[in-house]
Amino acid sequence: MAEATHPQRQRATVVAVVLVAVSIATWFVLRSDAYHGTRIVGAALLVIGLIKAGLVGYEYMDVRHAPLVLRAIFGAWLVLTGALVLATLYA
Amino acid sequence: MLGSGGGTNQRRVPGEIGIWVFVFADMSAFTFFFTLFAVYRRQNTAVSSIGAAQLHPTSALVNTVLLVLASFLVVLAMTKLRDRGGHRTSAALFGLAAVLGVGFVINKIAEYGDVIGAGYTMTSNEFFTYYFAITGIHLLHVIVGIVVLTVMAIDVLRSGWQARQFTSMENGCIYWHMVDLLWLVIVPVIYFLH
Repeated sequence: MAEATHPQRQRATVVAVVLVAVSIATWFVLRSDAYHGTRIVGAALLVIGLIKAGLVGYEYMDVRHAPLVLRAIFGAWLVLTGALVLATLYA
Repeated sequence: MLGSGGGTNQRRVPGEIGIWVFVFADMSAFTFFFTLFAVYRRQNTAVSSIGAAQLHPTSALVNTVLLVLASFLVVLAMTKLRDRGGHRTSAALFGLAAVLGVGFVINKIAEYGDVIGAGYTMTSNEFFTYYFAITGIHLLHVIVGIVVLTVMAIDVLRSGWQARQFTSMENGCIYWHMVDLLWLVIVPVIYFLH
């Protein structure tokens, strides 16, 4: 088991680095002149937020190794949340 | 949590079924809040844009980094526990994650102070009602998570590795990660959408 944990730590580290890097990149977009609160950028930022949430779920909560039903419910929550918010705002 | 199926192809439910029922119920409640907020924003574009301009994206970024790092430490702590040799390190990592959670609370209170200092309270308009309600409910989740992580740290330190504790530990970790992932969605919904 101990042999298997080293790659797991590496994987967790990569996920953390990606999450922090994407969050910082998002912050720069918000502070740049290119943002101006446009709908498309706002929608893209929500989708990025949901992908980050998916990473936490699938990697850190270990949904990745869970049975299909759990993976399906989790994926459905991500899709449904994004669809409801974006459709309500922009449809 | 991460890779608890490590090395095998067997699928397993992390933690207990009960924690997942709670997690999905809680996440669904937040989806409901997000949708209500989106309805409000669509109907009150001007007021909500003015409200959103009063918020602090930098504070949101700092809190995002704090929660992501705390989740990362929780994963490392569980990996150490699984190694069955590093229970002191594991307890320290849980404790450090709790400290980062406290940092989130302090930063959030400072943000509330700035917003209130600028003249906006929960009753100023509906935008700020949603802002304080959604982030406030999430803040309560963070505070509960800090207590959970602290109890886990003390428990691991006192009793070392106990196989019977492992599922309870997983439950606590799943709760904390849910707090993290909810924040990752709250930030674009409250701070970014126009």
